[in-house]
Amino acid sequence: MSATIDRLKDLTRPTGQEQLLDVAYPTPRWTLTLRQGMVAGVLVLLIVGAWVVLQRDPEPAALPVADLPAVAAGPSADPGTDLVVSVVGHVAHPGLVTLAPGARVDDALAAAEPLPEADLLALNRAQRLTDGQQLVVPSVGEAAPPDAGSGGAGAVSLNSADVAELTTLDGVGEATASAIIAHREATGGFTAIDQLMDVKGIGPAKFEALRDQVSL
Amino acid sequence: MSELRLVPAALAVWAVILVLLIHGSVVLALAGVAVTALILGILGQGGQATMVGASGAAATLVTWDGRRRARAWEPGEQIVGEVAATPVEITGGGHLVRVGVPGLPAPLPVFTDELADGVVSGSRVVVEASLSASDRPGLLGQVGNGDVHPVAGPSGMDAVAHLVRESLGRAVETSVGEASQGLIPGMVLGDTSGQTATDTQLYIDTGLSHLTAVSGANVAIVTTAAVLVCRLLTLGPRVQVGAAAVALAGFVGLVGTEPSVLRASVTGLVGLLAVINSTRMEPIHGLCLAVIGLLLWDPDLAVAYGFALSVAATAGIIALFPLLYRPLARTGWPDILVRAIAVAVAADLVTMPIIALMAGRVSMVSVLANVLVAPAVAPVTVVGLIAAGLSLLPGGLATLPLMIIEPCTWWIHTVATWCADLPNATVPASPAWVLVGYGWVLVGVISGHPLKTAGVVCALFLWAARTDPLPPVVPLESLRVHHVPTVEEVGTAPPGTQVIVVEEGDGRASIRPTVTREGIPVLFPQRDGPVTLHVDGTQHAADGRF
Repeated sequence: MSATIDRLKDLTRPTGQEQLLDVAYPTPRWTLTLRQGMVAGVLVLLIVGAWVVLQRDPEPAALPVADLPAVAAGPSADPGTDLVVSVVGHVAHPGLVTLAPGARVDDALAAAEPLPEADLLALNRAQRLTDGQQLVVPSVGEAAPPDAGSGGAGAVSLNSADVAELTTLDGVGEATASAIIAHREATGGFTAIDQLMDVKGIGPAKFEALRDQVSL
Repeated sequence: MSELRLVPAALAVWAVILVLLIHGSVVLALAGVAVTALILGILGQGGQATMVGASGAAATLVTWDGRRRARAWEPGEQIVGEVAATPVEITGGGHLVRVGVPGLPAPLPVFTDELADGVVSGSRVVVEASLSASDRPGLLGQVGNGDVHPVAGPSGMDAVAHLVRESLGRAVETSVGEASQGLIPGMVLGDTSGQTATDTQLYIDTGLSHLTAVSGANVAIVTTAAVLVCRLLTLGPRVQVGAAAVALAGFVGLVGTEPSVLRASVTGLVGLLAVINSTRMEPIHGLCLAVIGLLLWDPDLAVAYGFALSVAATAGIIALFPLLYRPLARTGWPDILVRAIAVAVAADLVTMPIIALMAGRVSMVSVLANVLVAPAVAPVTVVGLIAAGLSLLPGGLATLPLMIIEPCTWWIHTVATWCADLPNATVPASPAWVLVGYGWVLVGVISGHPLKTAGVVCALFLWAARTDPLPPVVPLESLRVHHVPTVEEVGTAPPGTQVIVVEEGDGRASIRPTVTREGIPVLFPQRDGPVTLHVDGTQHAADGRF
């Protein structure tokens, strides 16, 4: 028996020449019968259709807010503590004013009582105050302080703008705005616009884009 | 090569998605499908007409729906997502991070200046970016520019993959030489972060960059190795398939579940099918199934060069290998060499036009380089994967397998360096010229004259690399020469200087002449060897590099 198997093995052993033989391979098969085509086509369409319908109702990204990093919370987004702002210039009571959270320039002016010559048009009385901000009240005819009208078309002040104002800049989101404010508080304020590049998240490219939109 | 029934459907799916992504017109795509189906119907191919129509319609539906979801997406101030693939460093600074965002059909590419620590594949991130229109065709059509803040590290499979990358990287750093440090993580895990930019360019120039990406070849090598070991142990076919599946699971477990890995797994399985089951499941049939499935799963693949190269190489090897092998085998060269040449030429032939389209330059030495490195690739992939697994265990067990494969990676690096230094290693080319040129090579080989064809190709190489009679040399003594110790001090040359000579010899020899911005030639005799100046203003190195 084993002799027979050995003999068979001998005969069926590869010769190493198979690839060289001029084999007539089967002709390529291109044709699908109508039945096969219908079945396969319907199957493909059903699977794809079901998948698209399932995707159509995307559940909202359920992401617990607690997962968000601290970068989302800027100093001004802390509603719990009172604001202390410095009001100087043409007011009856220059000095520090303590206000409720969410207070606006108008509230600070009410506490400090502007003098008759104070130019209230130079100030945006609806602007929200941030803790530690200085409010300079100019007299009529005096040049408006650089940080007064920062909400409009003018440049945004790096040293006094809050998160909301900074986010009006192109390419600055809340995290970058918070980073700018954190840097300002850590270093005691910007003395040159170039220092923006020291802020985490602002590289040379972003700085070039921001350069013309900000002031000190 | 006889089972081609799914080829029209696969081509139809790919063409429809290309039209939709590049041109954007649903009407045009559907009209194209309808006309093709009609022609097939008139030719009496009712079944093919139905199949092409159905798969074309399915592709239209998927792409249109992806586009719709991308348009309906409203980005908030902060985009929360998960990093979909390992961040890529871009030449010229910055990083590209692909972030998978819930509700979006494809990962959002975000360009960021600085890559924060912890932004790795699989980690949760918050993106703060301004979105702008992308100039590349794709489902999303937009890219972000801004910051990526990590929130949480990778979890599950991604965490394991990240751990493996780090531990293998550490093991490689401590146990093998410099030439292997970039190659081993690249060839085993597709992690090219250890490679210098010069090395990366070196492998691209010599057509070896496919080795350092997770490709179908990796998967095919790993699963085939498992099957062959089982065959050696005379285990049955069921055990072989089981072992291949276990090997694949282990591979994906160690390398991660990035989209590129999953894609490679599918193409690799096609290769495995070709090896173990070619009589029942024809490889082309498997490839068509894989193409249809992958394109419908992720339509963006239709415009990805990596996917096109992968599919083309697989199809080219399947279709052209028998054609090339027979004439080459008659030459009487060793069988293993003939097989390696046939595979390398088949893959090179079909990928070169795509590379010419993508980069505008093609490598003239890639067949040579691929044949030379072929014996070293499989050991690195298999033993390297074992080393990656062992590197997770304490005790430095990974050192031994790494030492075993170090000669292989050293060889690959040496081959790449040597081939890149050959004259005309890469030449500018357009796809049409590549097709015409390589077409003649193919005709020459298939018509039974492989030796004559090889001779003509070599003669052309030598003719292209010949040195033209150079214009007369300008002796340096006749010029005002300024010597500086390092390249940083080139700017200190006084006005009127005609040549600057840098004395330092650090760095890799340049492959092209150096001039200052003002056009003053800068020579590096210590680094580049003797370089002569000629009356026409050109420079020529003595060894013929330029």
